[in-house]
Amino acid sequence: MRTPRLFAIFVFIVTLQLHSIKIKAQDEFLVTGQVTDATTGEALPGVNVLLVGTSQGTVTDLDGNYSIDANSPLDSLKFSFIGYTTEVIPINNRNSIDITLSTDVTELQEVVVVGYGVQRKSDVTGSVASVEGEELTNVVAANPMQALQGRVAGVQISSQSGTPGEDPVVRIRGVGTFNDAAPLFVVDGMFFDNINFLNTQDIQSIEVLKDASSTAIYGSRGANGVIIITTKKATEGETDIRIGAEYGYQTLQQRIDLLNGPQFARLVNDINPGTYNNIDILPNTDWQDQVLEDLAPIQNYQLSISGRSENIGYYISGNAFLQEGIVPKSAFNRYSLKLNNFYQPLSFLELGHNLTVTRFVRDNAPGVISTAYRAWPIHAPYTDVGDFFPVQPANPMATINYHNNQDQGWRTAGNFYAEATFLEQFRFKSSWGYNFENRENTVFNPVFSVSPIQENPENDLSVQNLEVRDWVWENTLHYDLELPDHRLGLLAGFTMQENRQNEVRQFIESLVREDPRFWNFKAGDPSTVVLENVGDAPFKSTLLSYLFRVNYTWQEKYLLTASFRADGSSKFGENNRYGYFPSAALGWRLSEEAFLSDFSQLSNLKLRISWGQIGNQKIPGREQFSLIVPRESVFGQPEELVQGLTPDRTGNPDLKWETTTSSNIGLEYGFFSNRLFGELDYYYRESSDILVPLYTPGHFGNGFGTRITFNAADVRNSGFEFTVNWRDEKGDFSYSVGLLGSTVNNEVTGMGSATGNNSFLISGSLGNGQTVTRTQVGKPIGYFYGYNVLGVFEDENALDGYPHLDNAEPGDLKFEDVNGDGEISAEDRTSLGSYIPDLSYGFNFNLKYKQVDISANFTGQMGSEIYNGKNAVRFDLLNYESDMINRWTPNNRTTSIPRATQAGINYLPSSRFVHDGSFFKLQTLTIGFNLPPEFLQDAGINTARLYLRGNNVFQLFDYNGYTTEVASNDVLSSGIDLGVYPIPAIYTLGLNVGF
Amino acid sequence: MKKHIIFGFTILLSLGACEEDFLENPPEGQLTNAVFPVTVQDAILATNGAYNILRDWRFNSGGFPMFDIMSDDAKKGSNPGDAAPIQLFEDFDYDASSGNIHGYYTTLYEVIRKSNFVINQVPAIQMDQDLQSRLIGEALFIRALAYFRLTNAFGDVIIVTNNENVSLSFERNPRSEVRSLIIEDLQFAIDNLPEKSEYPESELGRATKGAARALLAKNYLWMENYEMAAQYALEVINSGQYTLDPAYGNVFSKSGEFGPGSIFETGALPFSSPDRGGNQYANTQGVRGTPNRGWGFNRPSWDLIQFYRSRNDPREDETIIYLGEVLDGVTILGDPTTPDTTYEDGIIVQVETYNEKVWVPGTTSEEQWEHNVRIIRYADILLVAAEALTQLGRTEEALTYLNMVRERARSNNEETLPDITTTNQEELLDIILAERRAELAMEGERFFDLVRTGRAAEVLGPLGYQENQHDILPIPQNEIDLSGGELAQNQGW
Repeated sequence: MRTPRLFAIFVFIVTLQLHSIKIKAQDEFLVTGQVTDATTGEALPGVNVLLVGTSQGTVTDLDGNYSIDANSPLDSLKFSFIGYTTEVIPINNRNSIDITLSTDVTELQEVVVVGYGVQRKSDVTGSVASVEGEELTNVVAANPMQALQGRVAGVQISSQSGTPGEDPVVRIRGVGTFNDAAPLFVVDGMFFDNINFLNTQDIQSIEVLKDASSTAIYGSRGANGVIIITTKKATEGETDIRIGAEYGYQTLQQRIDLLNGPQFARLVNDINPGTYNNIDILPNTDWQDQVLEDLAPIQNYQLSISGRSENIGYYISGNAFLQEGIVPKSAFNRYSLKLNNFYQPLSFLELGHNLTVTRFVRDNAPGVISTAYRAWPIHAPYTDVGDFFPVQPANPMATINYHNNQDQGWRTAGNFYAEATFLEQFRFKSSWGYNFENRENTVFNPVFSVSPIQENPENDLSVQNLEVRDWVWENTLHYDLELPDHRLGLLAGFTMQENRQNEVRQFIESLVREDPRFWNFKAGDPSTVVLENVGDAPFKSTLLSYLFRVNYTWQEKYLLTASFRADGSSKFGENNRYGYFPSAALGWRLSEEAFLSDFSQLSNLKLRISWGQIGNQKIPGREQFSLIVPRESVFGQPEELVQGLTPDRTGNPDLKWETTTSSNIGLEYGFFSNRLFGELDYYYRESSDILVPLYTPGHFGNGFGTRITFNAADVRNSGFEFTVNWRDEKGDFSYSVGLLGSTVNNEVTGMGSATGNNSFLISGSLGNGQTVTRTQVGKPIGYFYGYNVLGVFEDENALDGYPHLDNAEPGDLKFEDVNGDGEISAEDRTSLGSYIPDLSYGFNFNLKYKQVDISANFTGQMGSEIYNGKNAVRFDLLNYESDMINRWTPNNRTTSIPRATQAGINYLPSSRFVHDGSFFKLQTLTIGFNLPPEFLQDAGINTARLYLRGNNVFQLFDYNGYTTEVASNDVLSSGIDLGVYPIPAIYTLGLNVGF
Repeated sequence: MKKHIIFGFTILLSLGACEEDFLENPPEGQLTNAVFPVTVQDAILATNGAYNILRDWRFNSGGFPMFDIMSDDAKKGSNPGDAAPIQLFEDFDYDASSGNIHGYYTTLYEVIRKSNFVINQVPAIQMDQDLQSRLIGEALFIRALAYFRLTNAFGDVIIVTNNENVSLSFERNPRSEVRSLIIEDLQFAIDNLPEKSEYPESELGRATKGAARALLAKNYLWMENYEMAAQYALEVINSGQYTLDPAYGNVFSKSGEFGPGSIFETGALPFSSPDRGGNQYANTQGVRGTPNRGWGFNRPSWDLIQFYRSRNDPREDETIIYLGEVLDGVTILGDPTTPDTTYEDGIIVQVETYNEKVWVPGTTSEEQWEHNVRIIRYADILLVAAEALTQLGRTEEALTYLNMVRERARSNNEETLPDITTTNQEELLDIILAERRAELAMEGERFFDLVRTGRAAEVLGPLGYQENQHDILPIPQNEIDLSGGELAQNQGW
């Protein structure tokens, strides 16, 4: 049949025609072509081709070819690909458009903030890590440092506890001193010890300077690393208004397993048979439940306006951060205002200021965590009539009820500057920075009587006022020269700084009324008034410095940086007032070399090496002086106290800077147009002349137990850092993945040989007379020291078979006879671990598909130990952790848990209380939804994002406690859990709108 | 152009000058040794400051009265399990690692440092010469007292006369040199200090001419220079400044503070804090339990009790507190965890007693902090005179002074403690030694009396005393470690 076949063909052609008519009617213009790399000529697959003004697009295939239907021949196509400069090409009636894309040079021309200036990322020879401000907002916390955890290789951030508003402990590349090991914070050119006054949303970027080359310009204070924070400034473009609101709840992540009522009663019956004959009628109280709030709210509200006109740029922001704690009567509220403006009255002159004003109120938590941990579960909180029941050892609900402790105050900080450019290449900047703070702490203890050990017969009020006045004046002159093959930058500077502080404490008893309105010194008994300076206050210290730096780049391949700083500090005696800190670094951009030009996958390869010396002067300023102190005598009949003055311990006028000599070798790499990029570093830091208190010979006359500070100790920190990142885009889907890690090998290499003694420092006090850490040559700082537990003595035979302490009985811990002398004595104590982790790591990923984005950051630590101080401090019959269910009894002889006792052998410092401090946690998970532009344009809104966020969503660690993050600012006594405030999981919902 | 250069140069110079000032920051509100002492007021304050350390807990034999506990006068005290390190002194089981010995050593050198400060700094001050010499004399007395205790306890010790440049060699000066220094210091003190009566009442407690003479006499007695010991003891006696309080019990009481027989005494106020004037000396030995006056250490021994009873000595009552006694209206019940009587093989070895010489009327432990420590008493000097004179063969004179002490002790009780009449040297020396024990029990003298008269091995041997070892304390092990092994240890240790 011929007709059907012809008919079929006819239909086919018509359909085709119809189809093409249909196509022509809707999409008139087909464009095809190939996209290639401008330099290599190779085809580029995966390039996004977008029809401008629509959401229509396609992607180039493996040969770089694409095919897209435009609406009209006058449309434009946008070609974009990661690592390449985006091109927008008008179609102009062409059906075939081949284009080339060039590698995005601006990425490599990206600038990085370094000390006293900025530098092109490609020119940097030091070890500097940059974090964008936006990434920091992923963690809901009062202190921006909290968000850096697990984000920067070599920076270890540990919480001290979950207390609202508390500063985390920040350590960069290990611990290089026995004293204050915190890094230097530089915010808008002003120096701080902590940045808890700063609103995270005001931060543009954070740079962490890790090696000597980058920190030496800060000379005297760079030994622990430097963190530079740049806050937001007005950017080009229209006025930008942003509003943000975030609201959520905090909950306890993980409870501590304690004995419940019946278990505790049975244990007591074991010790004292017959104490509780009817266990069922006893109350069964879960004290953690009673004390901790289920849900504690957390809120963050933000408004910022920034804009620019010809001569003026402004950035104004206001923020309210309100966090209630999961422990009652603990909270942190902070209100801040930021004003970053700059003015250009003349073409060569720029003036500006970056100011922050903050008001804060902090309710300090009652010390109720350790009470709830110990309280008898067979006691109820209240009696039948509603009074507080006299719980053993104390009633936690009463502790909360009678607790009043609040900090509140104002703080303002920032700087004013003037910058002039002249003779084209010169730039002179003078800036005056300041930090003023007033903080008042009020503690009121009312009269109460819950039990003979929990009572207060007389009320008292204590008020402490802290006043801080710091200023810094910096003057720098920059010279920049650009020639075809050479780029030279010179810097010379002079700075002066003064830090002044005073703290006064007032105390009075017997207030006539207990209402807060009467918490005033007019309301109490004048004869009980105490007025005194707190600690070393008042004190003033000053610093005066000269700094120089040279940056030189040759042929974009060979880099040199050298700097020198001279610092004079009032904290040191005349003999050693000045410290000199040089540094030098070299860099080689291998990727620019001809011999690597064929290796097209390689987009960046830079080798850098640096060496330098930096100092630490964070000590109290008095140690150099021989002070004369008041010591009264009693004379006369009748006897009277008579004023007298006599020398205190001798000062050390030879005190000087602690010095850290730091070497670093690093490799920066990038492949596939920097889709794969990262860094590898090895660092080696030797800190010497560390200030350490040492005993002096008795005939020097300083008195029993007195120690004088000497520069006598040495510490070494070394390790590796690595980061690996991958990011890519496929159409509407873009993602990035990152992995980073760092190792620390910390060891004390010298200790006090100057006066021939003191092979170790003892610290790590648990508060009950026991000390559990030591610091000595050959070991990490503050390592745990005690007996090593081998097991439990099962019975008398076991006792006879192994050395033991005199009063040991079956069921007691078996300590290792370390020195093999057949006896257990103080010499058998040994090293039990260190709180400094061997490895800190982080893993993050970000996904974005059309309007939805998901990002997460995991972080963890390995190879550290902590001391379970809460379990080790026992002074009476108190509740136990749940492992005591399996304790040794005559019926349960094979176990690793010793018998129930209150003191003695089983509570000596030993490995029983040393636990693995490793953890792995999902620090933050954010799921966001960006409302599509169509919905927003009518309202005049530019961007709107709704998000759901979780912080500390889950944690993995092997320890019966709230957390293994129990860091402390005291480097000799860190990693000890004495009843730490739990770190909560935080879940929030937020909305960000931009106009 | 030239103007610019000069201008710039001036700026640089002035920058340099203000740079130095900018970096000078002495602590606010506090003096340093760079600016003190400067005025006459400073001189007085510095001297007052040197007395303060005499109220330090460790000034008295490292905190616990270890010399009494080592002697036959006293036992450790408190309950059996308390303060095990102190038990070691009672049993002569202690060694160089003792914290109490280290505390005694370092505190005595602290006294020396504070007095050196006055001795070396005050001479440069423009002030009235008499006052200046007096203040320096006071400091020299305090320094001599410290060296006296140091060398008695430790033998050869390092001499430090200026703490601004202490020698870094750890060589110990022989005892004879230390004794010479004491003599030299006290000579100046004697020449420049006023007599006790020449001080206004408000200054009682300061060093006096009599105190310096008395200490010098004791020093000479140690050196066995009986000629000089007798001379200076007699100077004290003949000065007319001191008499014996007719009631022995009154000597140590609150009403007897700075009494007629007080040659050198440290005042104290009833506060449990040295900063407010308190001294923990009496609290350490206070009655333990009910009333709660203190820790109960330094317990009068059964041997001492037997000794008193064998002589029918009225001083027993004023020296020893027994359970059941009523003192100033307070009934002494003692410590429930201490056995009232301890037996060994059926014989009494210890009875729960307390040192009555540190009793302060009252019921709290804080009130005990008010007790004044009697460092040198007139009765002691009378017996020093008696001993020295006896050694010189001047026994008639010796008897006079010996009997003055016995007469006061006897008081109204004619039947006991009759006057001694024998002129036999050996007999008299034994009697005087016994009299010293009866008169000065629990005052830290007995142990040293036995050692310097060579009787220690005989009397204390049964208690564990080893000849050629326990006559002096070991140099603290911590000090030897600190010196890197350079500091030599005492023989026998």
